[in-house]
Amino acid sequence: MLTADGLTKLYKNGRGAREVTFCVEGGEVMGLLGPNGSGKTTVMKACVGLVLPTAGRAAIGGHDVVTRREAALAGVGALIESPALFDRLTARRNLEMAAAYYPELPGGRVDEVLAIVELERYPKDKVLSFSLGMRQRLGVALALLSRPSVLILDEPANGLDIEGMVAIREIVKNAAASGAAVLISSHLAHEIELSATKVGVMHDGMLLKTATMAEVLTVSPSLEDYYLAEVQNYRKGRLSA
Amino acid sequence: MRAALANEISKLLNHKKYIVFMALGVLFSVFWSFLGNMIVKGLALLGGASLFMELGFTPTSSLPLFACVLLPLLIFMGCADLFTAEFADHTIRACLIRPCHRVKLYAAKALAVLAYIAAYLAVILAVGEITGLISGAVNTPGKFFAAIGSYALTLAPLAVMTAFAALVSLVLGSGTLVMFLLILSLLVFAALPILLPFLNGLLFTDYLTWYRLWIGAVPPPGKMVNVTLILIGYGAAFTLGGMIVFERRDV
Repeated sequence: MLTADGLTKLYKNGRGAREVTFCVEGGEVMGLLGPNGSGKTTVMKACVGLVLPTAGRAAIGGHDVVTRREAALAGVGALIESPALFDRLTARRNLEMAAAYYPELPGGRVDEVLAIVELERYPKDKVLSFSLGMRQRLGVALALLSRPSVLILDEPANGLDIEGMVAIREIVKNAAASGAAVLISSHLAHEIELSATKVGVMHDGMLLKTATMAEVLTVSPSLEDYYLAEVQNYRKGRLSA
Repeated sequence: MRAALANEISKLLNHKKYIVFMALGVLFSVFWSFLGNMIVKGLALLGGASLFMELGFTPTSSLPLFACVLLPLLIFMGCADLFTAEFADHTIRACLIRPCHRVKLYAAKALAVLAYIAAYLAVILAVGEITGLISGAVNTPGKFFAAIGSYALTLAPLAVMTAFAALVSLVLGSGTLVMFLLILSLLVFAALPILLPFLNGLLFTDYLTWYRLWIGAVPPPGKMVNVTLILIGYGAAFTLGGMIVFERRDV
């Protein structure tokens, strides 16, 4: 389970995320939907301890990400922004280095995740030679490596072709089906609509609304319409205030 | 922690320049011991080499060059690669999202640089000793153990240098700037005691060849305790500073 409670991270330029509160249970896929700069990535970074919150807290499996970092991150797989890959190393070596942090992982896990993201033909190729899509797939493989109970994917479809996007959706659905709590972000409503069971609308660093996908589609013809309506309400509210 | 350390060493050695610099050190060691001894022998035959004979071209006599120039540069490079470059290209996230405390990750990176330096010292000492034996240099067990002691003791001020370089590497955002400032600081620290004599003996860089205090004529114990405490003090301050910056830095 992943929770954010009043999570706030403000950068020096005043941007970031403000008082974001949500909870993603095992088996759920929560999609954060918002334009670039709306605070989605900041929230995700705070959830894995890449940035220190200005206020509030994020917890994974009940463990505070800041004060109980090791316990909190033990069950997390994450891909934040662009994949963190060492270009001089091979795909396999990148995975092996990450696998070293999980001594309980079985030996064949690296090959398993390479197969899941369909990179099994390139284990010995240096990442330097990879296309944008292949890098993104390897980033997803790194996130899946530890069989995480919480999977956090920031714009996972970036740089992927149609087949790649469909494959990522399948990976997300399979992770949730196996009991993982999944948090994904996108600025594309269609992507979230196809993957998520729950949606959070982000704008100006705030989480404007959280609803299940069933609730969203009950009140609006599509997630896109729902998003536009919520943002319009927010703007009207600001003008009247 | 062990996984992090193994990963950091592996990343460091993946840069070919570190292997090349070690090979250059080995070549220099061979040249110093072998050709140096040949020159001494030649001069001895001519009957005028008593001074050179006394100084000798032993591994210990080449140590100041490594300890004061080459190894600090390698430490700066290592810290710039493992800290600054990884923060700059965001590859630092590869380890920061893993279940390992940030303090342990900081320690693993600093220790990886120090492990490379230790290996470097061990290799050039071994090569120097072996080449000396082959070239027929006069060596005694006393000299041999003094050489081992000198090389081992040199690690202490270089550990302080590593903590200093790690702190600077964490504060700055560009590898080139880090290298420039660290080299500049090394030069400034070397010049300061000349310009401001009251600083003489107060900077950690004054003790890069502190093995000289321990090997040969032993100075008063008070002086050795003072120097040891100065190094520990600098080391603790730089390490603590580095850990705090590493712990709090957003990625």
